[in-house]
Amino acid sequence: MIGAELSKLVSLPATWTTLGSTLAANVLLTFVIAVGDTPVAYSRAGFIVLGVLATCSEYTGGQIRTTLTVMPRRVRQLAAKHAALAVVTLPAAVVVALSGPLIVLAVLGTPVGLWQVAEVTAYLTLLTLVGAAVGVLLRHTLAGVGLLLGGLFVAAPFVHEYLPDEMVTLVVSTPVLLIVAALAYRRRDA
Amino acid sequence: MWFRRPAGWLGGVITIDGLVKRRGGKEILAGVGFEARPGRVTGFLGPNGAGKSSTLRILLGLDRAHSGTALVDGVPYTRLADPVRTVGAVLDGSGAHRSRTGRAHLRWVARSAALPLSRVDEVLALVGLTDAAAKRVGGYSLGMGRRLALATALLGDPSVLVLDEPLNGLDPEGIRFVRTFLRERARSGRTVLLSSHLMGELAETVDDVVVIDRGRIVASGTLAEVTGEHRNLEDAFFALTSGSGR
Repeated sequence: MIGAELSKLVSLPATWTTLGSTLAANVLLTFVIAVGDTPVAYSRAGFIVLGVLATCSEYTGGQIRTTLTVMPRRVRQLAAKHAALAVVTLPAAVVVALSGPLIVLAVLGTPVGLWQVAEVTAYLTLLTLVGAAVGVLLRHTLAGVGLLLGGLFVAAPFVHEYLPDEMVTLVVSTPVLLIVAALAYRRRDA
Repeated sequence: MWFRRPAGWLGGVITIDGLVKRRGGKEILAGVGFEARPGRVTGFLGPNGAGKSSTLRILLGLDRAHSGTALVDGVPYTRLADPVRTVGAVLDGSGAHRSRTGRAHLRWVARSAALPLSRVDEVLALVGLTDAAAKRVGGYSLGMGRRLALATALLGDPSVLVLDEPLNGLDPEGIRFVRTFLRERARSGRTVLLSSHLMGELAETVDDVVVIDRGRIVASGTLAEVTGEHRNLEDAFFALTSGSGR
């Protein structure tokens, strides 16, 4: 099942457009911001789009009916989709997390913080899975992307002081959202 | 041979019993029950909105019924050991994402059931889509989309075919192809269940007929039994479903 879901993801042109433009934007922003501080703050938008697309693309052309008739055990199928998404996302997140520090290293000579790269990679991967879970719940790409970007860039700065560290929030909320999404997915009419 | 099955009987009995489905306070299915058997083409007929698609969607595990059962060889669809090799489904549209190619679509379905990828080219040839296999589904005509849906259903060479309005959107040549094809499936001992609101198109294709009207089965039996005293299936159909606002 993971093979089927991987096959779906990599044969979707939007997957590559999203990943390619995210990486390009990240590299560009590193130069523009010059300090190389947090281009990831913007690049994470690309990962959200990737996550939402992975699940919402099922609802184009009635593909969801094909998916659920050939893989009728819904929770397993959805878990396979999320696993496949993580497999595609991880290397891309590593590349994006590394690209900023590497450029800074080349230009300014500041050494690469490996721990920081690992943290950014995990952050981007979890964010992608949140995107996928929200996509399952909303079944609409634009609505999902709009909600998450709005939350991240508009609402989050306001509630920031009331929340624990962003990473902690994400580590807690990702599995919760994935479970809620799976329960809704299992129950509803396709 | 890429498939392994005991010789002889292929199985594939569809048993639907007492299906009730409500949506928005309205009862769409009010106790639907019938059977479709191997070696026969069963036509599931009714006017638009009578509950044909809802019944088939419940049979395929896509929608949930409030009560009643829909079984394939005694098992609910969602618990079939090997759904792709047991049931092939053709629902409306292509069932494929428009930005994937036809071949890429069939490949992921083949992977989902661990079918050899050589099956993809076999079913493409079978439905006459070989030349369009590398094209994106978004560029397909309505008829090509229907052929892709049929190819998808045939990947696992299933013992049961379930088709919702399979003749919609097909040109005369396509209609002829599907009819001949379905007859052959039944002749080889497989089960074919198809829904339609076009009576004239079906009389020559079906062995058994189930008529549904406003969520209830109003007749079922062999073609001869359901036609009865009427001149043809079409007349019988209108007599059975009269007053349904058509």
